Amino acid sequence: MPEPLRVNHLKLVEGTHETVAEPILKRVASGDRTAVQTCIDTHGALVWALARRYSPTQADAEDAVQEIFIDLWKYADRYDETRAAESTFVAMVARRRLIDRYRQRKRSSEVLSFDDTTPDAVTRHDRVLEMNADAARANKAMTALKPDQQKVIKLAIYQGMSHQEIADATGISLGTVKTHIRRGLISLRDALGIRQPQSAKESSL
Amino acid sequence: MTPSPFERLHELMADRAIGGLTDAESAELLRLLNDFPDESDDAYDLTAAAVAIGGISPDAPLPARLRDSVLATAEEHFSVRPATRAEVVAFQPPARRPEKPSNWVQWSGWLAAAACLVIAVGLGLQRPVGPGPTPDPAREYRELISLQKDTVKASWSPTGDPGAKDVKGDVIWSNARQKGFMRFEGLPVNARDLAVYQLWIFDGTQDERYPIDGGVFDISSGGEVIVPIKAQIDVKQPVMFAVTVEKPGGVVVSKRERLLVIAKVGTDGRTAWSVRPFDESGPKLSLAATFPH
Repeated sequence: MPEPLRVNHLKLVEGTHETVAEPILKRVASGDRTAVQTCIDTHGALVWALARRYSPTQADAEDAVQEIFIDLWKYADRYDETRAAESTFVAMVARRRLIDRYRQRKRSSEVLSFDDTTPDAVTRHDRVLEMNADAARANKAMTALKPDQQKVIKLAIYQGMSHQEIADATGISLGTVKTHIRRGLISLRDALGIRQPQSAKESSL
Repeated sequence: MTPSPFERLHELMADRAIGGLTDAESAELLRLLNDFPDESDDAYDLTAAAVAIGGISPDAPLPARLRDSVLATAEEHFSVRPATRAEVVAFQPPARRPEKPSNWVQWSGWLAAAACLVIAVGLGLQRPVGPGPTPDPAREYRELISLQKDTVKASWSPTGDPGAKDVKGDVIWSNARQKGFMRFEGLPVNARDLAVYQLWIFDGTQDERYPIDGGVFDISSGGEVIVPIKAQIDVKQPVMFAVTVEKPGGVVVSKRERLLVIAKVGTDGRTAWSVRPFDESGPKLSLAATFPH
């Protein structure tokens, strides 16, 4: 006789994807409307934090959140749980949207000024790292990079600085900045073990 | 030195992950991805995302107003899916709505209205309602009942909620047809501008924390009522049905503040369910199930 299965029905799921049997985004993609609210509640704080980090104003961050979740509804079926944690995928979709918005602002000559109220960019947050295994591995792998590589990647990802801005701020040549970032990302990617998708083209958003 | 096409591909993917690409660069990336179809398109983006997560502190939840707005946008986005509102067909004449109930939980008023209707039916006022050419739920309900094969049937059991202590009836569901009906007797008329009923279907093949939305419905008259089930997704192995009270329009996740009735499917010997409260905060469910080989 198998062990009785005890479950709490109709109970809201809290916590991260790691505690959920089936990825929320899979359920969203399958048309399970209950998953929509769960997705918002599970990943809302992450999306909100990223949006505030990379948006010049509160209103802009709120607009970004709306667009990011629409992207998530559209691309939910692209999530492959064998390649990355769900929150990593959510963060990727969020960053792409935020980068796109940043470039649009840049084209319109709007000056970007990040939210100064967000935590120090280089601060490590144990809770975050516990929540996301990919982030923890990335954090660990980051310490193995050369100091200059660490610096430019932090400036690029945490501060959202462009290659040229990093070159100006650090005195490192533009070409070297690009090389540091690219090689650093390759090292981090390898450390994370992000494998190729079944079909590379399927991964394109 | 000019990078090789392969090096250029990775250069562009890395650049995109960090700061995005120009339109010309995006076009170049697409061309190169066609030339190197086995290369992952988003490995750098996932890597940068993992790094980015480590640099933020997502301690603050979405502001309530923004969360509501996102939810509303989601509702719009998914509104192209099948309608959520189940059509209700009553065998009795429409009941007079309760006199402007100040609170929808005035169940006693509803029950009184339902009782009046039962009396009215007894006096011979019964007549069918609903547009002529539309499907006849009563007939379809009887058809499903007679099918037996590939159908499940379960009787409603009140949970102790004062609004449904006298509710009787059953639910019939056909997996093959993906169609089903609920039959109620004594379910109070609801003030639809204040609250609605919503059906939840627990599927044994799915994560049991996420019942399937079986549709929102109103009860507009007393007596016996047949309500078609409008499941939002395919139901493969229904093991329990539950009716909750929700805000107008229904919800995507129930807070279980008012769980009225449940119908357990367990008479075929393959699944045995027991119901007991899992905490003391209200009529919530916890199930213990066994699945014999």
